[in-house]
Amino acid sequence: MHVGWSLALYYATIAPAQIVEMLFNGLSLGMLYVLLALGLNIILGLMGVINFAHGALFTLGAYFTFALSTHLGLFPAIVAAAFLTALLGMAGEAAFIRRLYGRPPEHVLMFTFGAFLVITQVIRRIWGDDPQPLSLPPALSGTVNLGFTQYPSFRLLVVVITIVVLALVYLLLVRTNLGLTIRAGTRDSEMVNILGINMPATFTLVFGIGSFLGGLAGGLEAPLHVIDPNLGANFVIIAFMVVIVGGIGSFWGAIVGGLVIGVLQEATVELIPGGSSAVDIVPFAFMLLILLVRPRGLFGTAGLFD
Amino acid sequence: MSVPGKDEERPSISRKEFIAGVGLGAAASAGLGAGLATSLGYAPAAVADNAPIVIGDVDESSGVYAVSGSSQSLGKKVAIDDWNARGGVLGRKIQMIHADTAAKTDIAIPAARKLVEQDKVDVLVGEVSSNVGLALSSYAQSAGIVFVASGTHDTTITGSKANLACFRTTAANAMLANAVANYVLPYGKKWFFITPDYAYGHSAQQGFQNVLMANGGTAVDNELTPFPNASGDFTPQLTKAKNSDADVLILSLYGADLSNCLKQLVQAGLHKHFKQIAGPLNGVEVVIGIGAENNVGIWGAPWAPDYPSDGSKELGKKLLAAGGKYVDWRMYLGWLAAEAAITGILRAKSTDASKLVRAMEGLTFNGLQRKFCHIRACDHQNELDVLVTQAIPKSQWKIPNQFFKILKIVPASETLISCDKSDAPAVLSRQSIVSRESYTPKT
Amino acid sequence: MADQAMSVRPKSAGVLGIVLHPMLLWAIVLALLPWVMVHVLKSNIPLATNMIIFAIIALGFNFLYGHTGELSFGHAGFVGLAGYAAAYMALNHHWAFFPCMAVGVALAMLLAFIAARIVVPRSTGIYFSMVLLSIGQVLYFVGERWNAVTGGDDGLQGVSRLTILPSIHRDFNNSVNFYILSAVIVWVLCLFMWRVVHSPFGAVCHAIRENRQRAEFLGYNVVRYKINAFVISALLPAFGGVLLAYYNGAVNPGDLRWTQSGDIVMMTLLGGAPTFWGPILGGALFKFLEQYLSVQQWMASYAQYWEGYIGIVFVTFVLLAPQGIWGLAESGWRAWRRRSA
Repeated sequence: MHVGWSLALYYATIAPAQIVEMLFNGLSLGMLYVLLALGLNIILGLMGVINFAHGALFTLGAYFTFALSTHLGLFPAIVAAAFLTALLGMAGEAAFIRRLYGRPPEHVLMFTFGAFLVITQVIRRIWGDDPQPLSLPPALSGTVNLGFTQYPSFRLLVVVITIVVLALVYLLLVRTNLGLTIRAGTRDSEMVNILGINMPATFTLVFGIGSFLGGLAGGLEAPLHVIDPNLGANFVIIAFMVVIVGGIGSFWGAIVGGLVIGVLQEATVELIPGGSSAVDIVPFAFMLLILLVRPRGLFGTAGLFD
Repeated sequence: MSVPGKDEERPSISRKEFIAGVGLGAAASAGLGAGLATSLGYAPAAVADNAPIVIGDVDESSGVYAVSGSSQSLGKKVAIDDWNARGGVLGRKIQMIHADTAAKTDIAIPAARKLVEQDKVDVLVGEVSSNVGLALSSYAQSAGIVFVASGTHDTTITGSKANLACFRTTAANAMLANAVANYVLPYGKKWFFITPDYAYGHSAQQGFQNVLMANGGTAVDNELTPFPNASGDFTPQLTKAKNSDADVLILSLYGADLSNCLKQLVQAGLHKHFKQIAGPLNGVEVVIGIGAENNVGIWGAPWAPDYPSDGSKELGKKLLAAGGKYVDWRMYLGWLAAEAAITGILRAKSTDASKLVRAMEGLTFNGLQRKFCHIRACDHQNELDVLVTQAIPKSQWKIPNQFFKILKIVPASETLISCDKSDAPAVLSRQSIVSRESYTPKT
Repeated sequence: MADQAMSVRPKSAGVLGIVLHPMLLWAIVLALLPWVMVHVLKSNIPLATNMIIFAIIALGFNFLYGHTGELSFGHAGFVGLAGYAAAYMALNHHWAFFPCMAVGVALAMLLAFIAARIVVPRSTGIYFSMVLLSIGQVLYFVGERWNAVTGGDDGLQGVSRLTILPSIHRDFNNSVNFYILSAVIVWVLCLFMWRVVHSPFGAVCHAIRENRQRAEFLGYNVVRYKINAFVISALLPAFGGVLLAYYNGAVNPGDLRWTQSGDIVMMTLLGGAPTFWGPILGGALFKFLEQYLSVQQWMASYAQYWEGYIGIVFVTFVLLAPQGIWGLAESGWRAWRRRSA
């Protein structure tokens, strides 16, 4: 009782601007999680494939962006990198993952785990262990005055781009035939197949879309981080947590899950004294909590999009 | 599936038979095992006159510290090549066998055991990660072999967790923090700390804070960051720092964390906001990935390629010739540790561990500094002069990939804690050197 | 066939049956392993110890996966927790080896007990795997952050083998002595596992793995069996964790990461999850390859990518031979017998 009141008093004395800033930071961090998680979720929802290699695709997206940026400029490089990653993902699906569909689901999980290890080592082989320098064009470095804070311009741009991409994905799911196939297939892929739609091709395409989003996330984050082979390893686990929390196969679940976890992490840092060191535990503890209360995740209902 | 099928095919065994069988089996294997153990030929073999001195290169070649570890290995190789060109040591050539520690104790210890028991190396040299370094120090003590820690900066390695068999040639964290803190004081007395939440970060931050407090300053805040840092995002801590009234920002980070933090703070314009930014360690390997335009501040270093000595310039050239992509203090650290180990063997006239330990306590050896380096007997810490360096823009580089210039050379006497204040002497006095098994020292 | 077994008194195996009993053969293998490692494989005995420790970790884990059908991506948590508890008691309270082992195993089993009852009824399949992954990660982060107790990122070092059986005056820093100690413990644990797998309880677990619904229809309380299987599957990893703490002389939060759990899954699959001995082979082989691949001088500059080579071998098996090496050997053996029968 007392704790509650003193906490409330404590929070009330923090300037509202700081709370807004914290929320904003949390939301923008969450956006990155959302982008990553969406790629995972689309693949998982439709195909039941847990793609541990998604983290490696994220790293690849960053490296491709770096490799192409001197020739194409930053933004074309990011887009090109995302397409390259998508191609790679589709190739991997057609060549290997396709053979594992009839098997127990853990086989795919284990395959993608091994693939993740291999791709990381290949990245090391090609580009070496040294971190690669990727700088922002001067126009985009620096900050923007948002009223309550000075915010790095490029980060803001990443948030905007992510929102645009999310909107596009939503439209794809809701307004196109492909999207309809995906949503129906998520519920019952056998039936969709019987109805004559080419599921294997759809699967490959969907894998490509998921990989595209993963590579895009990597490319967008590349200028903000040091690019080294271990880049994606830690992000991918948080992305999994987001997917589980939000609900497998749920578009809105990925968004809400990602944003909530981002905000929670920021709040832990800002509001809890000494919270910085507990930041990492947040996504996992939160996930465990959610699963105890709602085993299917916040929005998940046996794999339904939307 | 196979297991139920097996049940059907095999006739069953009654409980009595089973117990009898178990007893028989246990007795048989115990006997077999004991017999084999004694027959394993673990008696030490005689050593040939021209058998080389073998150095065990325990360093990372994969994992998060792969770059640092390979740099250290390169430095060692250059030192060994130099000695071999002069005829080796004790009339023997010197060889190096590498084992990857991958910054993981459960890979490092089996690797070290392999070097010691299978390859019969004479001394272990290396390591980047402090926690692996501590484990190796313990192992070396229990196995009776000398371990020269080349790149582990945690103060406790020659402090409360010192071991008789372990020596450290690089600076202790406290020394670096001390040197930089004193240099940065004139810029401002209100410091904001961003500290990774592990031993290295805490000991560095503590070192800075001690100097600050002793000079009447205020520690505005100490923001901890998780280590390892999954998101690589320092925006919350940087925002807090910016919103405080601190004039100096102290970053006790290293590696990818430091690279990310620097990049983000420059992008947010914070290098213009604070009077100065500083930290205990930086390095070419940290900033090569973010470019000189993102490198700012004042940093400690055990060495730098623009160190004013002929030996240092020579070393820089040799490192590039040996395949280094740039010259960094990591490579120097490997070189320094190998140099100390080999000089120790020369002084001891043997690779016997207890003789080597005695020889290395109080050892004077060439560290390419203004004066010779000297390893203190009281805590096995090398009295290394540390450098205060400044990040410089590309236009000011005098050598390729320089990134930093030396501002001041701080003698060890000013930064190193005195023997009577150290925890190490008490710990070391309770220890003795174990005799190493099935090993013949070389003389 | 099953009816015959039930209505007729099973015939005794006789002396030959005892002599050829797999557990006895395994004891002989354990006894010969150090000699083979040193003289045939040109390797070293500490590696042999490492191999058999991970062999039982994988064996225990596989009771939940290969025998009951639930994939846990968090079993490194039990290994690490037991190791930490044992190391903590050894370093801070100076307890001897066996008491520390008891504490370590007890704590890990307590966690397994609680986790099983909370997690198993609520999740299965992929969700189960991810929940276990999270539990492992939470343990990992607690290990990283709780500096006062766990030593934080540095972990705990200096676990001394001098406290092992001081009364028999043997130096356990000697690798051969420590191997013998580990081998005895490993063998006893394998015996325990053998009895469990071949018990009626084990048979029900196999049935659940094959077809959960049918097992339910037969009247078995599937959740209760899974809970018990989960708890049993944590026992050998716990012992393994304690042995590792003494083997390495140190514990480290990295031992608790999800990638360590992933390694355990890999070794089990490589060895052969549907079999009893597969995980043992997988664990031993994995640890052997880990060192062997990374120190090959002829591979020099390529050795640093050893993780990738293990990954390639692993994915090849997943694609082409998910029954693992032992599984392949067994089906080959059975095919040969059928042909000659």
